[in-house]
Amino acid sequence: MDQLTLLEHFIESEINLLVKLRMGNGMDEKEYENMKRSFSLLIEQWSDKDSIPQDAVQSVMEVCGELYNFSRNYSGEESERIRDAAANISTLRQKGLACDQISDKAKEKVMSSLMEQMEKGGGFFEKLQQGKGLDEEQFEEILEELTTIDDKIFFWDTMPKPLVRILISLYEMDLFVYKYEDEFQDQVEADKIYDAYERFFDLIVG
Amino acid sequence: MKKIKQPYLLCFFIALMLFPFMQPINTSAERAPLADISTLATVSSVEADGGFLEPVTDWFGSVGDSIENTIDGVEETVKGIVNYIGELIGTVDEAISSFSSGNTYSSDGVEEIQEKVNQADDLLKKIGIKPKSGEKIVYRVLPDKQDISEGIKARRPDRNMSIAGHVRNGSKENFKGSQFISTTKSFDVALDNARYDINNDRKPQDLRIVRIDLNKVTNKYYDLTDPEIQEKYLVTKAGKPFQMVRNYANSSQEVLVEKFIPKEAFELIGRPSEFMN
Repeated sequence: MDQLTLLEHFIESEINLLVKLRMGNGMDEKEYENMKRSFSLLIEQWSDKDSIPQDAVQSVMEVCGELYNFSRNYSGEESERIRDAAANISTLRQKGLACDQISDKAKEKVMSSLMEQMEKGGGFFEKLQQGKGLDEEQFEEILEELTTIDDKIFFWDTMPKPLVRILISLYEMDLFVYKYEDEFQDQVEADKIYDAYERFFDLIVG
Repeated sequence: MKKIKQPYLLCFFIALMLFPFMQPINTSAERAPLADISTLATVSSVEADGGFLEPVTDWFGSVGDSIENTIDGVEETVKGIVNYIGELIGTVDEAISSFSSGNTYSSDGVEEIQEKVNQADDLLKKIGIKPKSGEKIVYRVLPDKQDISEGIKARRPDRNMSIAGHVRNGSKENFKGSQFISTTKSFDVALDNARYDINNDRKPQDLRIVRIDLNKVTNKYYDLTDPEIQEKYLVTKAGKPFQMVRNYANSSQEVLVEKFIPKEAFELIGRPSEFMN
């Protein structure tokens, strides 16, 4: 099956699945299987490439965060099934995006400053993960850098995998809110992270 | 001759009866996830419906008049409560199947459907949600603690959140609120949200529903099922349709009102336990 058809199947099943979850109608296993199948095939097709089609970026970026967030609207086995689905897709996604090379030197140049900002001070997300809170200064720099390059990166036909991974991390930043609320019991920091996430979200909306 | 015409008559009649139940924008958008497909499908389906209805109603002539009158009367209301009527009449599908499976569908079927539509219409009148002429009605489910004596206020009127952000994040557990007030054009959606907590495993609840006339709303509002509004606000940075968010908005028939709804613009319908019995 060609990439465009697979992508259509992936996006259609992803959206159908998410809409049902949002409406409180639970996990549609058939849509999930369709989504997983088409995504697996896409991942295979992307395996020897260092970038993915721009048309895939939005769905690849949003799918796991959405699933995880919706899992919290359910309880018991249903919640677990949704969380497992999020974990499975996340594993597939990691496999599919595991590439640090960027063959397109022009794109690499555009991204280089953002990647540096992300890695500064031991890594923005590493610190967040360790419970060190949101480095507000670093976040401002990251957001500023993104604002500088967003009129380029979102218009490329394909997006380098390392950049997709950065966008995914930023898109899923709201999941850290739960971690800071539940695990670290730090509501102030959780609120800061949520606000930061919303600012990033608004940046990727037209 | 009569036997030959009957299936055609039946098909046209079903199409005519189902027209108010069709929501082409919503359906096409949900089925066509990709940008260009969605836009084209939306436009073409609307045009096709408009062109389709006219010759059918003409052709029916006097036979269809009584049905048409009934439909005209309930069309506006039914648009927003499609599934609810479905429940009332034992689902729309059942209505169709009961209509099409019998061999004596010509007059018996018409009476049966008319009776069911009338029942639904009666119930709408009874619970007081039948729109009057010129009204643009949306519904909102109120959290128990919300005081509406001074009007309905947004949770965070000071925020400057994007419309897409509100739609995407509004159903999340950690949502902090925005300057928007969510409403729905669908009574069915409102009723479902009033009866079941969709953010908490569909646990039963019994929340108040208000009926809002957008004509009396003084602040700006956005019908997120409107393709033009979607083109303007529900797009990605690259200017492509933000399909996930569009489908969220379509499925819940969402209309956002900015910051405040004055008390003159709404009336309390009540809790489902009050008007369902």
